[in-house]
Amino acid sequence: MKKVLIIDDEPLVRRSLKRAFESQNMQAFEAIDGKTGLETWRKELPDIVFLDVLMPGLSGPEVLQELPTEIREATFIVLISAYSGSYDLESAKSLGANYFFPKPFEDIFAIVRETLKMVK
Amino acid sequence: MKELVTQPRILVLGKFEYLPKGSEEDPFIFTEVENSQAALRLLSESKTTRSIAGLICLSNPQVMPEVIQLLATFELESRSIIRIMVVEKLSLEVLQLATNEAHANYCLSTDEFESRWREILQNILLKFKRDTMRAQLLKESTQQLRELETLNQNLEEMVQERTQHIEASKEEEDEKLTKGRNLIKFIKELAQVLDFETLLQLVRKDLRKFHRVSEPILVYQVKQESIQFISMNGSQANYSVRKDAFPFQVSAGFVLSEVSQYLANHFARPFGKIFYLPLDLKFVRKNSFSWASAALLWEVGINETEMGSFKSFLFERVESIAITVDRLMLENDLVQFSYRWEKTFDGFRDPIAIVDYEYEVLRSNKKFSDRLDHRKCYQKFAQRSHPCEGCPVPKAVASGAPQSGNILIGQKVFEVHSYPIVVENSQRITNVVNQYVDVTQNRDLYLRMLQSEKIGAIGLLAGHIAHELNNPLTGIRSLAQVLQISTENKALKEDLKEIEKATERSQRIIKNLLDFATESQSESRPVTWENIIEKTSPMLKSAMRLHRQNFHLNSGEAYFLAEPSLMQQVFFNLVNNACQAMKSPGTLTVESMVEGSEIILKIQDTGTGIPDEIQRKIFEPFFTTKKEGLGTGLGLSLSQKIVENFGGKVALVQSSNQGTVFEIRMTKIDRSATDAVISGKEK
Repeated sequence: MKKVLIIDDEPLVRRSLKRAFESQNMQAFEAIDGKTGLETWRKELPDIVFLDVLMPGLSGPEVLQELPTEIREATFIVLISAYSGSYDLESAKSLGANYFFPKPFEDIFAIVRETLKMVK
Repeated sequence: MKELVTQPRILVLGKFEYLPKGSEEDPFIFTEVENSQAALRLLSESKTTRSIAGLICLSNPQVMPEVIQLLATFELESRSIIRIMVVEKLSLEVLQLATNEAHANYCLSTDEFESRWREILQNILLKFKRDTMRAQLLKESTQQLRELETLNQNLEEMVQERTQHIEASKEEEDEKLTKGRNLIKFIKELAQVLDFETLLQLVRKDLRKFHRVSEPILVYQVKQESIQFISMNGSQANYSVRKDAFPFQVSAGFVLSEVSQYLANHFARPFGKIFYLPLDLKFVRKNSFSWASAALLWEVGINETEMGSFKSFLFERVESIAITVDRLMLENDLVQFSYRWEKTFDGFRDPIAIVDYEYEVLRSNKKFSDRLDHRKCYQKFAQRSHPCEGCPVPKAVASGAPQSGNILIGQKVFEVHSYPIVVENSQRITNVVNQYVDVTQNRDLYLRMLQSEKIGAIGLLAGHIAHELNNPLTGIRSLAQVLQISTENKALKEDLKEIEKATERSQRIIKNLLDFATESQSESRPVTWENIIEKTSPMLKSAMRLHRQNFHLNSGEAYFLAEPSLMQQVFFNLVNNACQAMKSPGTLTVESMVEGSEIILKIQDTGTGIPDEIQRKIFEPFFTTKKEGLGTGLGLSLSQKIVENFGGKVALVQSSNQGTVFEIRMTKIDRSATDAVISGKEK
């Protein structure tokens, strides 16, 4: 069973993603900020990580910097941000992420589908 | 009369015993003459005295012819002498002879004569006396006549003399009068002289009656400047300057060879005798508080006698000439001074005008107006019929202190600085100097800065809010989606769908807000009103909620070039204004249509309209009728600027107590040429 970690300070975003992934038979973990997210990441070594950019404490990019390279490279990382203007796929990739979704999401299932397609 | 006393003489030829012999008592002196020669001698002797009164001749036939001859001669010489012929015997023949030949007065016989001689002599005496008297009278009257004639002649001479004298003095007077008139004419002409050239021409003309006097040369020096010469060359004036000191003199007259030498050096020709006439420049000396000298010079070749009248002629005029030179020099100074000031003011970048308390323009620089007619400043500069709003002139006049204010002329904003002109001894300020500084650009810059700062702040805020809202909205929407598929309950599914729709709407509002607030750097692109209105309407919902809304959008696919977010602002502003204009619930009508090459958007409200007096001001920046906090006064001015930037026009087309209509006209663009761009962008 694949593991997905959702690091976002917005509970509803975490919950909806968790539900959507669980409906696809995946194990979902939640982290409320960068610090706990980093801990969970190291502990659970998820296959997929949804990482918010702007969070209190450690921001998304900072989390990526803290993370050991081998763990990071072993994970499919999706950066999510409400500041779509500041980030795009390219800048996300340069930070070490694999993909980027701007918030707000239009259709959460489409996002899940697309992500899983890329991971396979 | 004494002559009458003289006894009359009776010549007697022949013997008459009875006649008295020379008594002094007798009325006659009887002179016996021997012959006719003696009688004739006596006659010629007595011619002047006329003392002979009668002639008595005794005739006998022997002496008859002689007697007749004598009597005839007497008759010829002096008819007044009574001639008597006495004959021995009177006969007709004798009588005829006596009458016809001798022309005797009497012809008597001796007897008759003897008897009648007293009577006859008495008659002779009477006649003689009468004659003598008459002669005397005649003589006297002749004498008197002569005297009278003499007197008359004397009188005539006297009259003539007097007349001549009077004529002479009249001529003298005339001459004096003419002289005086000429002098007055000269002075009058001097008063009209405007330059040295004319002055010299006038002096020359006035002196033309003196021959051998050269054209005048004017020499003057003010302060320690160079010596100035003005000479005449034909009808042209020559102005020349020389540095070395000129030997100015105090008195008029012929001058030393020094002056001739100087002139010869300066004019490079020999000079003869120079007559020097100093001119006292009182005003120049007084005015420039310094030394000033001037003189008129002539080369003179006239003789001593003419010299006198030449001098007196000049001395009569010297004062007037000096005053004129004085005046001309002052005027020159003044003109130069004034010219320098004029140029100084014309050099200013800002319009400057001297204006009186009734706004009458007294003077102005070129920037203010090229027109010279004296008119009110608001007519001349602002082209309006009333004083400009915000004009500081009345305040400056009233307070006597500099004041400033902003006035709007067309699209330009001027900051007017009014400086009162304080004239000595005058309590009241009547004139002010106005400086007009064009602050339009500053103002625009300021407004734009303010606007972009505001927009920046709103953008930043909106960004934060959008982020903050987007996160939970994403969660809500996503969760609603997740929940929809995890429940079989149809009603619940529908509810969740509604939640999802609401969040979607919220997200769109936020996105539009972001677009609206963020001054995006994107370029103009083809847009349609429908698109802009659709995007903006959600933000206007609260403003429009009280009013009925009629949207008739008939411009469909008509595109114009603009930056969407800015056009959204325009639409937002106009609709917001329309809604605020309706104090009670009314109808907002938004219509769009295509008219030729123009796309027209009409925004109509059913408010109370815009009063006439403020209609012209509604597009002015910072003009607002809204309460503080409700409007910045920037909405319409900014909208106008935006629309005009994209080549359009915004105007108030109708305003009455039934409502107001604003109209935006944009130029339609060719769709096919822009299709590629649009499809590219919308992907």
